[in-house]
Amino acid sequence: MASNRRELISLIEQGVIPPEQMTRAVQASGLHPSPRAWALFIDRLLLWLGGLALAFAVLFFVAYNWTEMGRWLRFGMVQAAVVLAVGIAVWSKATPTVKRVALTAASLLVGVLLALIGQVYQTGADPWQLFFSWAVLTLPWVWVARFELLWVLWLGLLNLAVGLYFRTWGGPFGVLASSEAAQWGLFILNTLVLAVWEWGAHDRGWPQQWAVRLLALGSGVPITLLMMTLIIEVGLSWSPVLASYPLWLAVLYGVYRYWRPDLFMIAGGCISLLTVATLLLARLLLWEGDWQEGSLMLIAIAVLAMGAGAVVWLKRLHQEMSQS
Amino acid sequence: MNSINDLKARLNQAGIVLNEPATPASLETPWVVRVLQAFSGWLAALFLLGFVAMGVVFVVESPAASLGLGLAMIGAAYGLFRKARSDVLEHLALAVSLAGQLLIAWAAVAFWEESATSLWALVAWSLFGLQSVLALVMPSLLHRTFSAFAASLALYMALAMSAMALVASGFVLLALTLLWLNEFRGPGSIRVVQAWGYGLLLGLLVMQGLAHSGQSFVFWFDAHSTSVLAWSAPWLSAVMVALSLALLLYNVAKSKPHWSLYLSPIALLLISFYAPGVGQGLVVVLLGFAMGHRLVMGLGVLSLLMGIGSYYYWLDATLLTKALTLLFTGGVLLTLRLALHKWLSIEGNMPSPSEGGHGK
Repeated sequence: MASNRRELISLIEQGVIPPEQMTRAVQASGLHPSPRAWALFIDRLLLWLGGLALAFAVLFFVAYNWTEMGRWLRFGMVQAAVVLAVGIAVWSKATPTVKRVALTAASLLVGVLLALIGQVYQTGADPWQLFFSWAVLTLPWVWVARFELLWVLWLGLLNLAVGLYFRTWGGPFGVLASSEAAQWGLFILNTLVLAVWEWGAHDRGWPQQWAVRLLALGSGVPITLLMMTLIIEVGLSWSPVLASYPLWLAVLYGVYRYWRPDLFMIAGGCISLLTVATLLLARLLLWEGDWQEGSLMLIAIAVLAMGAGAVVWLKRLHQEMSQS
Repeated sequence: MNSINDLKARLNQAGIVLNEPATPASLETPWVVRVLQAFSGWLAALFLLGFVAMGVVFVVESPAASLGLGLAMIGAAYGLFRKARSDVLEHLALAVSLAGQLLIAWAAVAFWEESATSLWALVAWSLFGLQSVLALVMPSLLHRTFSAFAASLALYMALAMSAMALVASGFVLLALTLLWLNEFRGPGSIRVVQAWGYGLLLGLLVMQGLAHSGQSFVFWFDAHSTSVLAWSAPWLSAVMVALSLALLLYNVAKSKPHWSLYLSPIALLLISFYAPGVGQGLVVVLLGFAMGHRLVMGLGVLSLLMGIGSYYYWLDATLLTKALTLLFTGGVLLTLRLALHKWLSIEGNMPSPSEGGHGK
């Protein structure tokens, strides 16, 4: 959906478009979709909503756990749905969008099938095993679908599996608290995938934009939480996160300031740093201090100064980036 | 620059005479920078409030003093916003205003505490009034966005006290549809309308998130909220969702859409009664597409996904009924698509295989 909304608003605000001509200018600008664009959009909307409604119908049915219905019938129904979805995806007459919807539905149905196995046979497996098997079994379809959204959903499954695994079993040497181990697991997974995706975007023309930003969030949120946990629990004493966090910030800055300029990433780093710095100040001045009102005022001023400084700096960067 | 020149050429072709720029083009502040500004303003306001609470204890002990200081802080913030020519001052004004609002909220709780009837409903209505006024008068786009967001949540809280929470999301959807459809009403109001529109859209998403998690403000404050009109809430909400879609279609009718679109409000009325979140999400997706606004459309998709998620937890039907309903809905939607292809010869309008989606 190409849109020239920003340019149109800029022309209106500069007074280039006379106010009495604004309505005509909006119509002539092509901002509003044509009847043909509407037809295409409705077509895709019907296809996606219809396909997903059918897949979710199977999911809800299995969740209902109808004991009067025999297990073979239930397995047969879910497996038939999987075969049907994959059949549509490999059908030569299917358009690329139909194939993507079919493979997304098939990937969802594999999860339903695994849940049904757990429901019928009471395997006693840990939840992480369900999500991990789901991710492994659907990988070939995700690979061939070449579809950004499906990759992100797949990575979501892997995140769930990794998070649940470490939450259950703790760190590799059992030295980490389980929730901290889960944060480390998610941080390492998402940072690696982010690096691979950036390489793909640079060398192979993979799509960037929102998927990369989502991965950066998946990398930034856990490391920020780890740093916050460290400050809350022990203060600034030695821990691997004390070395990893500044390194992560430095790499983020280097990559997204010079290699692939992206203000979103740098602003995200600023928000993370602002949160950590405020928490550190609160620990030093309030918990380790004596809760004086002057300390609260000092922190308020510090937060204001850091926030305003970051905004001024980011606006300057934005100007530089849009000129280059 | 090329896209600006393309647009100018297009407007010239349409016979629109363009003026020389009266003001130089200014670079729009990216939304992520505004998020950072709002976040740090809010954080600073909390510490500022802590300073007031500890440093000038008598202020928080007396509702009148709390209200007075809160209003004075909002007044000071208003003055700062009017004079502010730098980011630092704007930032300070935002934090002062937010701390002032918290003081007024505190005063409202203390003031209505004696009331025998619903304390939280009165507090919520007071906050709704305050935030609505601030959204209208504060000379800062960021503040207007925040106030519109806070006003929508206050309305939700107020109506939730009367077991009418669903009506709040329907009302907010209707308001944001009207706003976005009138985005280009006047050259001076575009940014203001956008600021309110974003605030209300964020409010709608939070309401859906609360509904999805099965929590609501009612749960936190008052487990006995009831109303004689509670039975009408799902209907009122569904009517407002359908009305939003009807308004959208009326607006789109100028570009002569396909006739089949006109049947959709009726279908949406039914869907919204059983799954309000789904209906709301669909309207936001369509609104975003109609306006060529990718961010609104993306937030609409998020809203739609949350709506589908909350349908799972809807307690008035068994999972079997829901499964059969979904099966029927999916079948109808795909048949409708097939019918559009076959009988209405949309094939000519279909995208080429390389169009749409992204290769990886």
